Amino acid sequence: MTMEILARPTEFEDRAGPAFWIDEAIWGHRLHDEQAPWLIFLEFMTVLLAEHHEGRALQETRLNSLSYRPQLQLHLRNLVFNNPHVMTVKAEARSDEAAWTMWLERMAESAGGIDRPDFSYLRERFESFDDFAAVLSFLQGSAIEGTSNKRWSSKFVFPFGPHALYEDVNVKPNGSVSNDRRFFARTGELLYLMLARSQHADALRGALVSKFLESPAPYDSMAHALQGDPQLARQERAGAYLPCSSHPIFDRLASDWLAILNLPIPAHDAIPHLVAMTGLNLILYQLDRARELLDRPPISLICEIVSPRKSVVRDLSADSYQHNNMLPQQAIERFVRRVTETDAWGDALASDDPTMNATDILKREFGWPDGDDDELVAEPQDFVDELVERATVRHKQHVGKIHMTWARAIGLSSRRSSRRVRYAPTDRLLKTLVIACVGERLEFKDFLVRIHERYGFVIGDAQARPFIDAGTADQEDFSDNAHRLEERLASLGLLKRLSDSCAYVENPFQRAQAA
Amino acid sequence: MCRSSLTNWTVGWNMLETGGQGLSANPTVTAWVRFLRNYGPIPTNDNMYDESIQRALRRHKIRPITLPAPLRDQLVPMFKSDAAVSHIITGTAGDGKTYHCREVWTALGGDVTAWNLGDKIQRLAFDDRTLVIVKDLSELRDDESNELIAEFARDVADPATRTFYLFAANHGQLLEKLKSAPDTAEIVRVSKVVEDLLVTGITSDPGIALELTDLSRSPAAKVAMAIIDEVTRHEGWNGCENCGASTDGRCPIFENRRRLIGEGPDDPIRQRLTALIELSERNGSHFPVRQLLALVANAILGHPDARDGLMTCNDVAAIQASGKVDLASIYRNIFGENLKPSKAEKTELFRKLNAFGIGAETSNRVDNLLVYGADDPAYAADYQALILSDPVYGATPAYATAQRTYLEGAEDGDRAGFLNVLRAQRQRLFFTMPEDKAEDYALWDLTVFRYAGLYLDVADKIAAKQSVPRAALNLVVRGLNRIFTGMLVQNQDELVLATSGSYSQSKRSPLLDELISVPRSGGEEVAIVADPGDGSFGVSVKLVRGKEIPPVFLSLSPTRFEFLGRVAEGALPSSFSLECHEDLLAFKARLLRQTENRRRLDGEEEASDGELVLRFIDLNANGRAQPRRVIVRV
Repeated sequence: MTMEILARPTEFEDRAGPAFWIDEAIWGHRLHDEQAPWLIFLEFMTVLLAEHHEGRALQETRLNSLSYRPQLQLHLRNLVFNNPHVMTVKAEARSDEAAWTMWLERMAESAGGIDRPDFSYLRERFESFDDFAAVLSFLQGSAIEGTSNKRWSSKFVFPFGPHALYEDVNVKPNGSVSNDRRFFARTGELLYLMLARSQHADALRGALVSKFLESPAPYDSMAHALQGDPQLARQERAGAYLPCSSHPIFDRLASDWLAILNLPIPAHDAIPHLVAMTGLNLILYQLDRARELLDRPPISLICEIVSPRKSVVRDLSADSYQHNNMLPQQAIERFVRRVTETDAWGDALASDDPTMNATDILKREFGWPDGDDDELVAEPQDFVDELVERATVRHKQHVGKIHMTWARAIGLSSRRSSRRVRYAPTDRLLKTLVIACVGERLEFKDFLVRIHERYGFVIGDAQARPFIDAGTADQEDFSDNAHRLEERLASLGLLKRLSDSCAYVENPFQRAQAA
Repeated sequence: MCRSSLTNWTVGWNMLETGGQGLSANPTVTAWVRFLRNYGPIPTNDNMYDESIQRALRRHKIRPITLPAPLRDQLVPMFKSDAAVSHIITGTAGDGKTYHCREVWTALGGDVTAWNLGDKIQRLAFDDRTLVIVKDLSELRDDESNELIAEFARDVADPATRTFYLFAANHGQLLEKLKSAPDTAEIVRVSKVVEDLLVTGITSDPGIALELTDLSRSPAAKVAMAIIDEVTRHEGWNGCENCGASTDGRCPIFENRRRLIGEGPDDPIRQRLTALIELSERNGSHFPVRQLLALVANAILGHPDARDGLMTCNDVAAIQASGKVDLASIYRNIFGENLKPSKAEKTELFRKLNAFGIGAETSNRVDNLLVYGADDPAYAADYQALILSDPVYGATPAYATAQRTYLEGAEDGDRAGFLNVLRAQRQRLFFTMPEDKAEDYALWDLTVFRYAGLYLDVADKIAAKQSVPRAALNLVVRGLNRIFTGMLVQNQDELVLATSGSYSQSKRSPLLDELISVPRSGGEEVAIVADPGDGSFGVSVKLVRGKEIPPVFLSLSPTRFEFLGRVAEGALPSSFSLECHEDLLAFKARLLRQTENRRRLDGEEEASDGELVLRFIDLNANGRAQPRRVIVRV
């Protein structure tokens, strides 16, 4: 069976696009390490909102034809994240009237990306300047990664509702606004396409639209009051590309989301869990595509449940991390080199002009070399080596860091009390796993089986059979590991132990519902 | 405990070893100590099962140890009555399941000889009915149990049935058997009921006539005291006081037993041990009878130099000669310090007791006493009363030497030695500190649970239906307020219910939802009350006068109480935070749902005609949270 790689979309010619189509062909255009899982979620929401306005949320009319017009909301963003005057004005001004006047003047000068900034509409929306300041401080305090030192135009208010959603942009000092894909690097678009192509797209559309877009929290009106009427980007955003029309991980991702969205908890409480499951499934997607290309056995992640002492499981977990971490890069090389095993390549080499014919194949397959590259080497094999070299260098810059960055971001990996990174899930991630995978309750043993089947997590001795049989670990090493998980879950209120031999993992929200 | 009202169940002693008595020791005592030793945490420990105890009782003439067993008195008349219902007894290994089955069998006229033949499924016909008893479901082969479970599933769903069942199994086996039975609708239905009964104690399917008793939920603190009484006062000890080893007053076995008997029920060691077991159980760690027996045996017989860490009478002479009697201290043995650290860590019993950190935790006052007490006139009286008065485990030569060396400027190695001695002394003080000095020395600072004293006080008051100490409620309210808001608020006469506005996992919550009065006022009240479900207690928040909105209840385990106490005090130990923080946020979420409910009932739902009313929390100079209204027009 060959791996599915859809054709590269041609209608959106993007001059600033990638020099060759390798990472993109395997995983899509594109996965990007600097886009943390939270930002993936936010980009997804901006796409969803835009497409919902067009009446086609989570519907793809044609594969890889997504084109949408996101919100920009520059007034809101200037007020919350590019507004250093409030404190000084409050200190200097002697009256409320003076405060507004002083602040409006200063803001008119410093606001970015807005023609002729005029914020005077705010005066009638607040009873006093202090009230206005309190609201700003609230929005700053609840911002996503509010304490990061990112540029102001890459900071985001909490997604209270439709008015609080907007795309990441670059605002230059001269006032020009461009979408440089720095932190919204299309990974959210990929997430959108994955969910749209999943079996559960219809159910998800209903849940997402009703929970996040149509019945926003009252606090969304704070964003509304500050922004005024919604502001859209000037142009549509197109060019997203996801290489497979379907994938088991898309379905699983969607079912994880549905399980979380169907919990009897406020919609906003679901977001951190959605973010974590998104990060996890995207990591597994990256690894699984690499594995498929390399024709390797299913991905497994040996997880250490952190123990006070160094253990065999800790070493195996670090090995497992290391092994998985290398897969994407190996996949890149394999992807390029496998072209030399094709008949077409053989024919090209045997032809009158092997260099030209081989180059044609590379151009067709990878979009490289793109013509104005004149450092052409003579031998076709050298071309391939050169391409592998370049692709690897580029891969290492971003796509190759995804496993490392996101695993840490969602609490899957850690270096706690060790020099090597390993899979050692945090309590928060464990809780998310429980609420995503356990309906009401599940026997602990079955829980271990379920997270192994779904995500490849190896925690207990039953899942670690291959390692135990191979003699790299004792049964006891892994049963101790499982025992530690049992104790951690119990202390988190996620597990009820009936006796030494029997325990249930419980979904805390479903339990609250039943009570 | 009122002995006469309870029937007793038997704990026999398996005579595994005899003979080899010491020269001076009384032979019957020596034999008895050997039996007792087998109940300790030793590798060859197969005398935990009723079956083998029965065999031992038949072989040897030993007076059985008797412990209270109220369940039998409840089951026997129930099976005879018109309202008979099938019953499942479950629990952890060693909780007494098989014993109960046999007792019911004999009490209902079953033949003991027939029982002893050991059929796995016993059927007893009496009056108009049949009782099917299986003392251990896991003994059945799958084909046997499948057939039986199918019958069982039919009968419990049939109101007219004349066949009733009494099954015993531990939790895991019970579920295993139900799972491996064929998936018929009847079995699926009954399995669901069993699962519900196990996990929540109630079932939502009234069509299934089935009850379940989980022996692991019986109060272990009481059982522990009964075991201590039975073991320490068993006639096997007769003659112990006349033994050559104890006449010089330094036989550790004699000494430990004497201390465990104590001086009446108010003796500190019993009170403190009861307190530890009770706190542990309220935190969800059960002590089955097996573990309590092991605890008592280990407490009396522990010494690190004996084989497997447990002495026999024959070991005593050598231990006395080596001058290491103090290492047999019962106060160390309670924490398994007589065992190898790896062994103690793997023994659930000691893992649970060591969770209190007794020996490692301390207060300045206790350590001052232990380190400088010998020389400091201010401590002279207490030093005499608490240390010097106990020459066996207190002011031992080892302690005095280590203390001296330390004070005179010890090498590093000696310092570690002193720290070990100090550890043993703290453990001893925890169990021996008289009640009237407990407060002065902040007894519970010797444990991880510094508020446990207050906690137990509240528990006692609740059980006696007396009013709860005001300090406890203040502590709880202030702790809750700080967690609810994420700010260092001081309010303790009102609950400051705050929201983050975003998601409830957020640490800071700057928006005020409601202030709820702690003293009763306008239907509102925050109080510490008994948990109607079990014997524990919790904090209950009433929002309205009537019953339209039920009070919101949060059960207070010792861990949660400690967490709230530490937060209220300002210092938050990170080891606690993950366990409790989310629980309390979930409690807040429930409160928020109910206040919203109340506003809806009161018709106060915010009319959002283009106007958003926000109430931010301002802290005034005294740290009190106060609302500040902000209106936003859209």
